[in-house]
Order: sequence, then structure tokens, then C-alpha cells
Amino acid sequence: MYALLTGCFWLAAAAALDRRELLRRGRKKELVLAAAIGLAGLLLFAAHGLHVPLPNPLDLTSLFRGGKTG
Amino acid sequence: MKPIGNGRISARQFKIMIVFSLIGDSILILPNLMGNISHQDAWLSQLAAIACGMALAWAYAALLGRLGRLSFVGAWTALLGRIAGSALGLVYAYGFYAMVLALLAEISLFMRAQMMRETPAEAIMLAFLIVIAAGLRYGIETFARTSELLYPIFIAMFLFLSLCLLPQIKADQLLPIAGAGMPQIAEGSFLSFAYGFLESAVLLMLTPYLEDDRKAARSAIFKGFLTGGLMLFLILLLCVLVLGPSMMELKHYPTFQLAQRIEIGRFLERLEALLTFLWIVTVFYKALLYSFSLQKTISEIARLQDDRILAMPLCLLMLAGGMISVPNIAAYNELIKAQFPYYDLILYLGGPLLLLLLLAIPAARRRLEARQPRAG
Repeated sequence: MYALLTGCFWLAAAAALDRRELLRRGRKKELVLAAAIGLAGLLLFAAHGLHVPLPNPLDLTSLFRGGKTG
Repeated sequence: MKPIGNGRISARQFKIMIVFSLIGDSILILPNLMGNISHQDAWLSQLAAIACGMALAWAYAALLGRLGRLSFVGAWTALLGRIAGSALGLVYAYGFYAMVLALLAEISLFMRAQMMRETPAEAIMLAFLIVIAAGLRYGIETFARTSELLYPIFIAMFLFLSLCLLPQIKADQLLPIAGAGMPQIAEGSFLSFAYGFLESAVLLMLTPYLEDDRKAARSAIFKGFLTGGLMLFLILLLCVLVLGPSMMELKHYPTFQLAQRIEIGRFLERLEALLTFLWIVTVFYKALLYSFSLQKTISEIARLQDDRILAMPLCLLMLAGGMISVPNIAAYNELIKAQFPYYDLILYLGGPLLLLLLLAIPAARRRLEARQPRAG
């Protein structure tokens, strides 16, 4: 629950800081992209807080795995 | 193309950020990694890494001279076209994101293991990311100037750490010199080269913000690489001389153990909490530079007019990723030993060298020059 609250608070702060200025300047692309990234972050953070099994974002680095482990 | 923004960094600020980025997390993790591989010859490995690092500095400086006012990802997009360039940009965006996640994991594991055992990792990462978000929102000029303020304090603390440990040096711990064998020394230098020098490739994303004196900027790369490499060398030498190779292998954070050893006249002890500043500042700057590069890459791919709006959403994505990516120190060790050095090699050596080779072709150089942003 705290994950959801932290995420919501964080995005609300971001919106309060930037939304009006961006809308005034007509920068909708920036606003849409920021909202999409923020929403992705919020969903991931909330899913982690709810113990939903998620793929590890660092798994892709295993494509570069060398011969030696441990 | 959009005009260049107002943020400008001087050659001195550029050098300081290179030093911070080069020392970065290496000051924390390298002594243990190299102690396990090169044992008492870790300092020899570092010397070899510095030699390779200076060759890399030459390559980065040559590339910096040819990029003009374009960033590394911007130059690839200018050469390959919108679609292929953006696809490559996404690969680098992922690379920058993965690096920030690894640094967040590192600082939270370090703080929880050594100082704040009961504090949840989320709280440490959140505190770190709030400062990163502020840095990203204020822009590069602000955090470059902050680095200038922090640098003398950093150097003073580094010298204090080194000088206070001089009475505890046991020179016989260096023996037998080169006893670990050449393959081990070479493997250790590869790790140091990857973690220290290759991960400083992020400097290539700062090129649009450098002041016009490119000669000074190129010289800053050499000075930054040499200063950072020598500081890491000194730390490794102190680890071998004071702790010995066996302690370096056993302890996850040998530099923290070094700080714990400081004792002045049996009245001034437990200075490690104060010296944690060294590690937090360097890891913070490295994370900040990688976060800035991620923000800049996304902005270049999407052709945004103003990228500061992305700061807070990106930090939330990093917080979520940081929590998911590294659950414990065993998983993290696997990551830094078996995956990250090779990933660094491909992304931060392969990519820049390929671009440098491409820019040796006159047609590619002309194409890049034609796509330079106009000064504003």
C-alpha cells in the first residue's frame, strides 16, 4: 500500500511542478511521454509492493554474460 | 534542429565529473573483486588498467573532437537515420537505466550492510533518488557547479584517509610481487578497466554542453582519467598494505574496513561514518550522470523541446526497477562478476570505437557536420 501511495504522491508532485507550464507552452508530447513513463513506474512499483512476480529489468544484461560466474 | 540549450560546463567541471564517474562505485567494489582475483598484486592490475585507460582516453578524446555539438547517441542517429539510430538509442537507454539500477542496488546494499541495518532498501533508494531528481530538474550546469564545490572536500577526505593509514602499512603484504601470476593480474586489470574507465563513457553524452574550447575538454579527459585511475590505485595499494590480500578477499567493502582502521592517538576513532561521504558522493555523481544520459537519450529519440519534465517520472521508474532488480547481495555479486564487465565492453568500448572508425570516412564526417545543431 505504501508503494502505491509513494508513487501517487511522487507523480502528483511532478504534475504540480510541470503540468501548467507545459500546457501553457503547448508541449503535449513531453507531457504524454512523462505521463507514460510515470505510469509505468507507478504500475511497476505497485506490482512489486503487491508481490506480483515481475521479470528482473537487469536480466537483459545476461546477454553479455562471460564465462566465469560466482 | 532545435537550438542548443543554455547549460554549459567548463573543462574543469568536466574533468571533475569524469573523476567522480571513474571512481564511482569502483572505490567500493573493486578492492574486493580484485583481491579475489589478483590477490596481493591488485595494485599491479590497477597500473595495467591505468595504461589501458589512457589509451581509451585517447579514443574518447578523438571522438569528442569529432562529435561537435552532438551527443554520442545523437551522432549515431545522425549517421544511421531516424529509425536505426533510435533503435540503437533505445539499447543505450536500457544500458544507462541498467547502470542506475545497479548503482542504486549497490548503495542500498552498502548502507544496509554497514551502517543502517534496519532501514528498508526502498527508503535508502528513495532518499537517493529525490536528490537525483532535484539534480536532473536543476540541469547540468547546476550539478556541474556542485561537483566543483564537492571536489575539494572529496580530495581533503581522501588525503585524510590515506595519511591516517600510513602508520599501519605493512610492506611485506605486497610480497611475493607478481606471485598471483600474469593471467590473474590481467583478469584483475580487465575488471578495473571495465568498472573504472569504460563506465566513464557517459562523458560522451555531455558533449553538447561543453564550452567551445575543445582542446581543453580533450585535455580534461586525460587529466580526469589519470587522476581517477591514480586515486583508485592508491586505494588498492592501501588495501593491500593495510588489510592484506586475505582481508580484501573476505570483506565485501574493504575500503570501509580501511576507514574503520583509522585511529589517532587512541582518542579519535570510528571515522568511517564521516568518510562514507567519499563513497556516497562518487556513487551519487555516477548515478546522476547516467540518469542524465538516460533522460537525454529519451529526449533525443522522442525529439523533445524540454527534457526536464522527464526527471521525476524517470526517477519513479528507477525506484521501481531498483526494488525489483537486485533482491540480495548474492544476486548482485553474480551480476557484477559475470555480466557487467562484458556488457561494459560491448556498449562502452565497442560502440564508441565503431563510431570513431565510421567517422574516419569523409562522407560520414560530412553527414555529421551537416546535422550539427545551430548555436543559440
